[in-house]
Order: sequence, then C-alpha cells, then structure tokens
Amino acid sequence: MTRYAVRRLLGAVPLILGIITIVFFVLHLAPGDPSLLYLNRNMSPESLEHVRQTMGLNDPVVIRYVKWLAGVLRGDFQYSLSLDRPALDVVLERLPNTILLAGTAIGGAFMVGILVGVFQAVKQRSPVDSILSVVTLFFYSVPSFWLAIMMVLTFSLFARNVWDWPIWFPASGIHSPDYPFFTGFEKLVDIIRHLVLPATTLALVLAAGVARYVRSSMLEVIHQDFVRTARAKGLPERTVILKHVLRNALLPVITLLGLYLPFLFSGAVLVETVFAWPGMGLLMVESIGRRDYPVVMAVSLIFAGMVVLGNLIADLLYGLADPRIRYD
Amino acid sequence: MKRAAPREGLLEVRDLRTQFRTRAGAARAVDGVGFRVDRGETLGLVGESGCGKTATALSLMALLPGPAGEILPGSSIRFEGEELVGADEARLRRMRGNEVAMIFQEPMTSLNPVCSVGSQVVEALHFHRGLKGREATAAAVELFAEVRLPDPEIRFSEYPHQLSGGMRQRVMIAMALSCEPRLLIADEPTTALDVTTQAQILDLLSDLRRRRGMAVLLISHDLGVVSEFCDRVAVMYAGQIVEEGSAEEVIHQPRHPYTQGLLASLPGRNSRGESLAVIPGVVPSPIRWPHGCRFHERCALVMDRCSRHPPDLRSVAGSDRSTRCWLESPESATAEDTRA
Amino acid sequence: MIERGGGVQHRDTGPVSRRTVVLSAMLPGLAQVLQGRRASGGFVLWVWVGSLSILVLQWDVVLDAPLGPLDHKVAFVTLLTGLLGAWIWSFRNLGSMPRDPQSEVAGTWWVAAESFGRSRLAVLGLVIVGTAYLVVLLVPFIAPYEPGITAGFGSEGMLRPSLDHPFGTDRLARDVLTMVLYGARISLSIGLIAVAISVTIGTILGAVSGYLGGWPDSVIMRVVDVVIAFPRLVLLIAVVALFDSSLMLIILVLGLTQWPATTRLVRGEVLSLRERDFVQAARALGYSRARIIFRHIVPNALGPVIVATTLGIGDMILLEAGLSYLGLGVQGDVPSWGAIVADGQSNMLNAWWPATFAGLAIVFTVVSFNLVGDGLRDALDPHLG
Repeated sequence: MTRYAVRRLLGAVPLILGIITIVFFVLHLAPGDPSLLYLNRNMSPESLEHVRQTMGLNDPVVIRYVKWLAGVLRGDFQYSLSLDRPALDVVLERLPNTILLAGTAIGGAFMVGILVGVFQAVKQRSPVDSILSVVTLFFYSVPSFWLAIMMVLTFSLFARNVWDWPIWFPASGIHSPDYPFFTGFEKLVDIIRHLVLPATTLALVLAAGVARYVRSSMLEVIHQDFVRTARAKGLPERTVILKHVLRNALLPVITLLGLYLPFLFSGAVLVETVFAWPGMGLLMVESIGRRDYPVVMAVSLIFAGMVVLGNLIADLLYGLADPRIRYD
Repeated sequence: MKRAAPREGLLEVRDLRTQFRTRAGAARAVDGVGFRVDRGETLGLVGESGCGKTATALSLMALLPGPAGEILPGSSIRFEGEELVGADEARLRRMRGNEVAMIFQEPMTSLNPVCSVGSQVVEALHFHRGLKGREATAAAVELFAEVRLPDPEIRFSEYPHQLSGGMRQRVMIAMALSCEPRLLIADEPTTALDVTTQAQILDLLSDLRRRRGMAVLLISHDLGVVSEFCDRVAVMYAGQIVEEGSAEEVIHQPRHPYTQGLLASLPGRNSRGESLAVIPGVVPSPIRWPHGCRFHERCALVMDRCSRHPPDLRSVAGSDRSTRCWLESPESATAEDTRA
Repeated sequence: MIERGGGVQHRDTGPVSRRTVVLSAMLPGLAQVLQGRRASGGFVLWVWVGSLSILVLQWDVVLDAPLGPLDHKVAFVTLLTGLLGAWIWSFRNLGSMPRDPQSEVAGTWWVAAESFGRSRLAVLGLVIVGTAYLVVLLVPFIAPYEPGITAGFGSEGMLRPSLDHPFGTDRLARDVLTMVLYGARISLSIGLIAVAISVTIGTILGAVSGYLGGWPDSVIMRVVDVVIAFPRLVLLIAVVALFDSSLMLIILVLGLTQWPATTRLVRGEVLSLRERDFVQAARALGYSRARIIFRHIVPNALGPVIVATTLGIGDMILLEAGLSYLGLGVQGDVPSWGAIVADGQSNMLNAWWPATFAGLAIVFTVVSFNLVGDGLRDALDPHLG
C-alpha cells in the first residue's frame, strides 16, 4: 500500500508540472505589465529599465519559466510583488483558514448529505422523498455566491438590523475588529461565529450533491441479490440498510470525496469572496487582480497538489473499504 | 412409490396469488398455486423460466420486491399451522432464516461483496441464536466444515470474490443452515454452477437433509435434477401447478401434456442421434394469461373446450397425484361445459 | 381501436369532428390537451396564447420591429414563427390519438420519450426551458421597460416591488424585471454555445480514443487527466481577468475546459460498444474507421451524452454567473444575472430585491435544466427505474 501510494505520487509529478506550466504561460503571456503597477511612474526610463532587468522581467518567457521552476525545486517561490514578502509565506499563512472552512463544510456536507440520501432511498417515492428531492435539487442548482449573499441578508443584515433576532452572525472576515483583546475562549467563540455562515453555505451546496448521489447509489444497491439474502436471513431492516446496503452504496461516494476535496480549495473562491474569508481562494482572486504572479503560481501549485492528494486519498480509502481492490 | 405413513404437514400453501404491478399492467406471476410440504419431505417445483417458480418462493419468504409485488388477499401460507400471509414483520423476520431458510440461484451476487463470508454467517447466528464473539465464530467454522468447505478457518475471513462459485454456494448453504431451519427453499441452487460442482452441491444438500431431517423445497427448471433429489414433484406452468405427484410417477408416467413435453425435451431420455423434442411456442405473458387452459396454445393434444374453459387441478383416481387437464376428466368436462 | 396496416404508422387517425377543427383554429393545442396529450398540447397552447397576447398588448412595438434594431427583427420573426408553428402543428396533429402502448413498432427513442413524458417534473422543466429560450428571443416585446434606461438618481431608484415594477428598481432606477429578462440572453446563450463546443470536442475525442486505443488513447487520456485536475475556476478567473473579457473569450474558455468529462463518458461507452456484434459486422463489411465510429458507434452512445449536455448547461450557467459576479463577465450596457447580483449586494439592506430576483432567475433556470437532465437520465437509463 505504501509502495502504491509512493508510485501514485511519483506518477502525479508530470500532471502537476503540466498544470503549473499552463498556468505560468497563461499568466505571463497575458497583456499587462506588473512592473507598471508597482513602480513609481515618475521614474526615469533608465532606472525603470534597470529595475526590470533585476526583476528578470526582460527575459524571454521561457527563460523566466526555467528560472521560476528551478527556484521552486529549491523551495523558493520568489517574492510577492504586492506584499514584498516571500510568496510561499503569504500562501501558507492563508492555508489554515481555508482548511478550517473547507474541513468544516466537507464534514458537515457528507454527514447531512449521507443522512438525507439514505433516508430518501429508504422512503423511496413517499411524499417525504419528493419534498427532499425538491430541496436537494434547489441547493444543487443554487449559485454558491448567491446563497452566500442570501445567508448574509437573512442571518446577518436583517437578523441584526431589521428583525432584532437575539442571534445573528457576522457577515465577513474571520475575526471581529477587537479580536486581539479577547480571552482564549472568547477568541474561539468569535471564530466559530464567523465560520457559521460561510461553512453552512458551502456545506449546503455540497450536501445537496452528496444526497443526490447517495440516494441513487442506495437505490442501485437496494435491488441487488445480496440484499435479498440479508433479508432472507431474517435480519432487521435497519441492519439490512445500514450494514449491507449503505456500506456498498458508500463506495462510489468515496470517489466523490476525492473530487470535492480539491474543489473546496478552488471552488470556495466565490464563497470566500462574499464573506471576505481570508483563505486561499480569496488570495487567488486578489492576486490575479494585482497581477501578483508569484503568489498566483504558488497557490496554483498547491491547488494542483490538492487535486492529486484528493484523488490519492480517495483511492486509498476505496481500497480500505472494498476488499475486492488490492494495491501491490 | 407409496408413502409409508401420513406425515405431519409442515408447509401448506393454498390459492397463492401474487401480483406485480408493471407499466404494461398487473402481472399475475403466481395465480392460484397450492401445495403442501411435509416434515422432512423434499418437494420439487419445476417449470420453465417465467412460470412463477421464483415468485412463489419469494412469496413464501415474504420477500417479494415491494411495493410493486404483493401477495393478493385470499392467499394462504400456513407454516406449522400458523398463517403467514398478513403476519407482522417481526413474526416474518423470526421465520426467515430461523424456521425457513432460502438459498438463491446466483452465488456470485447473493453474497455481500464487502463483508467477509464468515461475518455474513455470524450475523445470522447472532440475530437468531444470540451467539457472540468467539462462540459465534466457532459455530460458523463448524458450519463451514459441515458444508465441506476446505480449510474452514481460513475461509472464514475471506471475501466472496476470493471463492469459487461452488464454494460460495456452500457458504450460502452454511448461512441457510445456521439456525437449523425446518424448511429449506433452494431456488435453482445449481443452475449457475458447472456440471461437476452441481453434482457435489446436490450431494451435499441431500446429505444435509437426511442428517438434519429438514424439508426441502427445490425449485428448478431441470426435471433431471428434481427426479434425482425429490420425493414429490409439482410442475408449474403459467402461474399455476399443472401436475403434482410422487417424483417417480410424474417422471415415468407423466399425465399432463406439458410435463410430457418437458420430459421429451430432456437430453438423455431420447435415444442417441434423435433430435430433442421442443415444445412449440413461448411461455405466455403473465399480464394476459391465455383464456381457458393456459397451455392450450402450445398443446399437441388440444381440444375444443381447452380454449374455452380452464380445467381444475383434479386428483387422479386411485392415486395421490393430481393434474390440470381436460384429458383426465372427459365426463366432468361436459358438466363444466353445460354449467358454463 | 382499429389496427391499421403499415408497420411504421405510430398513430391511429380517428374521425375529426367539426367542433375540434373550430377549436384548433381558435386555440391550437387545446384539442390535443383535451385528448390527454397535456404536455405537448399545453405547450403549444401556451405559445399561442402568449404570442397572441404579445401581439395585442405590444401592437405598436411589434409593428415597428421589422424596421428596428436586430433584436427586434429576431423577435418579430420568432413571434410569427411561433404563431404559425402552433397553428400548423395543431392541424397536422388533429385527430391523432396517443399511440397504443402495446404496439411493437416503438423505437428506442420513442420509448424514451414516452418514459420522459411520464415524469411530470421533467416535462415541467422542459416547458420552462423552452419558455426561457422563447423569452430570450422575444425579450424586446416582453420587457416592460427599455433596457439600460435610468430615470436619474433619487425618485425612481430602489423602489420596492410593485405593480409598475414587479421586481422593483435598482439604485440606478433601472427596472429589475427588465434587467433580468435581458440578462437571460447572456446567461442562456453562453450556456448553450459553450456546452455545444465542449460536447462536440468531448464526443469526438472520446470516440476516437475509445475506438482506436493505443497511443492516441494514451495521449488523449493524459490530456484529459491534466484538464480535469485543473482548478477550473482559477483558470477561468485568470484568463478572463488578464485578457480582455469578451463574450467570445468566455464562451471559449468555458467550452474548452468542460469537455474532458464528456470524453471519459463517451470513451467508456465506446469501449463497450466496440465489441458488440453490429460493430463487428460493420467491420466485417469493410467500412472505414471514421464511418464505423461516427455512423455506428456514436449514435448508440448518445444517450449519456444528451444527459451530460443538459446537466452541463446548468453547470455553465452557474459558472458564468460566478464569473460575472466577480466582475469578470461580459462587459456591456446590459448586465448579466451574476452582475446584477453583485451590483445589488452592495446595497442590500436598503434594497434586497435586485440581488434576490436575479439570483432566483439563475436558480429557476438551473433547476429546470437539472429537472430535464434527471428526466432524460431516467428515460434513457432504465435500470435505475
């Protein structure tokens, strides 16, 4: 299994290389000159030229690509153009925030989604199933940024200013302004309060997909022969559903997890933007806007790594869950 | 063969009607089936695919795929004198696996692919006999040995995909035996296996039956298998039983034209070089059974009244056989004609 | 019912009463609805009544349309086609009865269509989608106000939804309903064209890859791996933000990043179809590879592709909305749905309606596409029944 994992990771190297190469050339072939954004416009042409020379902006794109790649291999992602700090530091600083948001959302989504999907499959064609189908279809079709805005509108703006609800949640950011003065416990509560709306938004959108998937997967398994065998043994329906049907129905859902994991890092861009959540997605959007190429490249590399890692984790989990698959 | 003494009735099925609702209409897969299995007896239920054999078996277990499939009111399934049609789910669950067990045609798909075969047997032991932990494991290994699974301890923790078809069917049998059922329903237990394995499994089944004294309802399309294995045979056609009697009599002196046709189509009964006889036509659709005798469209001996009036299942005078054919009761047929 | 000869005949033509003819002349589709064909008849009736009311209510605008700007001309032609089409359709179908379900001549597609028609939600989705595209074409006649016109700041701005402005007005005093109707143009056309691009590429590559195998298969599948592993939204944002965003660019980028899923799907189908008898037979007859792939294999793999296409349009609309929300969508005088949401967001405490209604339009459209897609999947893939 370890050997399999290592082989898979090595096999992913060309994949990651391909992705970051494309991103690099898209960025660097785009019109617009980052140096003009960050340098004093009153500089003399000669000194501008000198700075461009030292920044390496005058080299042909291919040379810059090779230089960048060589740097990355040494762990050097160059300096962020806008923040004047190492690009990697900027990115790693945002990583925990994204993991917090993504982890909460994905955990909640799979819990709720599996529950709903199983419930629907067991109650197939009942009114409850129909209602839940409409609800999941709604959340499956909703644009995440709009749902985010509606959450803000309802649970933050209106709850606080119009309806005077006792409970409301902050609309943006990860901390309150006076966060530094809070005690440890207050800090925790503050972060959780900020987390609720973005995490719920993401979780709802994802859970709808999971529920739809689990429902159809369950229905496919429920008609298989071994389920009839389990019933013929006289097992209670609960055991039949939870042990025999669910275990088999969840196998393809593991693949879904592998697909969602990377999605949460890049797909959360919109939700992070609405809530100004200082995660990697927001950083990406900001950096593209500022033409801060080193940061964009570092983020892209991490995203690509996430895709590979997500697929690998899914494959390994699949192997653990399905005895028919052996890695060697 | 005459039976020695009247045995105690174990399972008594009367007027069983089962319906599947489909898009094209309601399919009466089983339409008025009645039979009786005594303690320790082996009854063979024979017929072509689509005649309602499996639907009959699933009705007995109350395992019809709902909500499309249902047993119609008026049907009666009595097990040891207790009515099972309409019994509550808890009672049925106690019956399934415990008093009546079933093995299926496809050993490939009938076992859960993600659970070890041992755990699937332990499960039944746990729910019906309350066995746990090492005790249950030991009992399961013992069962594996009883069904002559080689290396039972090793097999215990293996998964279905690691076993051959014959071994999987042995596991299915072990699972079925786990609670010492009084009736075993075997739905085409050997159809999916190759010939040598078939013989082994049949041997095993008749061995176990003798040793444990359980009754067996063997469902098969293969008259050869049934004649070897069973005391009595019931032949099904188009949702009904058309002939019933002791295996020996039915095989050697079939009375219903359908049984005769089935026997004639068996290889090995004809002399070498002769082509096998086939029954012309196809099994009719359960959505619209033919009017009159359901076999009349394919029958070589068809008479006028066959297409008009359905014959009843009547016992043949002077024996414990019965058959559903106008040829058996020419005198009553006229009575039927006039009455209708 | 009297059976008529000619194996291909799907319908029995019964006698047509004078009343039915009059009914069909006045209200095409109604006769079919009364015969029990509620979905198709109802839609035609809906088109007829809708077009007629547009004609009556917007008589002036319609009359000027043939000489007006391009979108007015398009709307005019659409209106005429709708009216004539409804009329002709209803007469050609007059008296034809629903097909006998027992008939053996039913083709696979007919069976699928029938099974699709049994799902009410799917039919509803189809009607909404159809209506939405009609609205896109007819929008100059339907929208209550001219697009992009502002009545100045202050008085007319941020009006609550009312009879005059069913969706209210935004801070620039634009009628939100009009904006949403015009915004549909961008969202719906981008979705359709981008999916057409991606499905075409995906099907061709998938068929070639699956049928030929060998090195073309390896190369194509490696490319698929890279494009699928791509953080797609990131690439979209980067390309659209850094190059000048135009309708063409957005359609291309959306279309060129969606195809790998279709490729995988088609490849899988082709792999299993390749070994089937009819393909072997075609090969034995010495047909060219291209002919076997595109005349014999691809048509048989179309079912899943159609499902993926329908669901894909929904995805595209969501993605385009996301880009417009970030301010990276099509720039022009008429904002797309995502841009309306973004614009309304800044002012939500005072005017919640622009963002809410534009978002609901997105949800409504995507839900309809997904309903159609689900219905198609159930119809074309019966094993899940």
